[in-house]
Amino acid sequence: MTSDIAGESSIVWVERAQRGEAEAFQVLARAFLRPAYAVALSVVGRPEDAEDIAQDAIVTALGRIATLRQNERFSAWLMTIVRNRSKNLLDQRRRREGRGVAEDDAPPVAPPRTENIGLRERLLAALETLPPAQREVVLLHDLEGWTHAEIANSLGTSEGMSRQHLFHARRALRRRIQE
Amino acid sequence: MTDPIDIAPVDLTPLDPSRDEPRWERMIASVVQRALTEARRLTVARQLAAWARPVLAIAATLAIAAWTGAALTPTGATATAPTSVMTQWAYEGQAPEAATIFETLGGDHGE
Repeated sequence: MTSDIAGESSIVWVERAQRGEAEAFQVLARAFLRPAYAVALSVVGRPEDAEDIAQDAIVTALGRIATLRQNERFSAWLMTIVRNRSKNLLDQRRRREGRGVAEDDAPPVAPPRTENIGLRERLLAALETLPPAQREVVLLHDLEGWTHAEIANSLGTSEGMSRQHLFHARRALRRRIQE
Repeated sequence: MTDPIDIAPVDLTPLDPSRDEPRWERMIASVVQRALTEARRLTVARQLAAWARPVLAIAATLAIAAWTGAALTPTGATATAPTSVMTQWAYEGQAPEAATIFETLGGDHGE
């Protein structure tokens, strides 16, 4: 949930962050780092890249929070930053691959820290087969616990469309995981 | 009608980056520190920009006023200039007193 954080409306925390309160920065970073990661992951498909993008996007958004005019749009604004950075990374990756640079030449990716490597990799592979909007909805809903209203606000779509995406994403994921 | 409740969610927790809690907490702390630094840097930059605008406006106004003043009063300024006064004396054949010459030249009368 992002509309209320630590017993306060997210708008209140945004206002406090605009006044430079360190506690508000802490609360907002804690509330939005995971959703930012989920959105980045839905675009770039690699958890390590998604973590970097999410962190940089949060730093940018909180660093410039004093310039935000519509405080209730903080979440949508942040997710736009995340998507733009994710797309930039994809473009860079495509250019690099277009120049014939082998994947082995790319910076090394840290190995996953979980004991559940097999399932994690299968999930990532299954997610990659979904359309981007379905990936974003299923990650925000099923990993982050966002409501359809929150997802619709973030994606700039309707709640009905969010439900549709979730339905199709779950069905496709389940089918591919079981293959 | 497609209802998401019809299909149970797939367990996505293997993708949850916060399962490694100490690492996640370090990440949050780092993000907060970087964001606070960035916000303070931008605040200082905005304050400087806010100061710079009126200072530049005043400087521009003074420059325009000085230029306009110089352009509008060349005759008066030239008329009191020592060169102009002495040229006038020579032209009219005047022979001013020494004190007047010193005064015109801005001298201190030898005091």
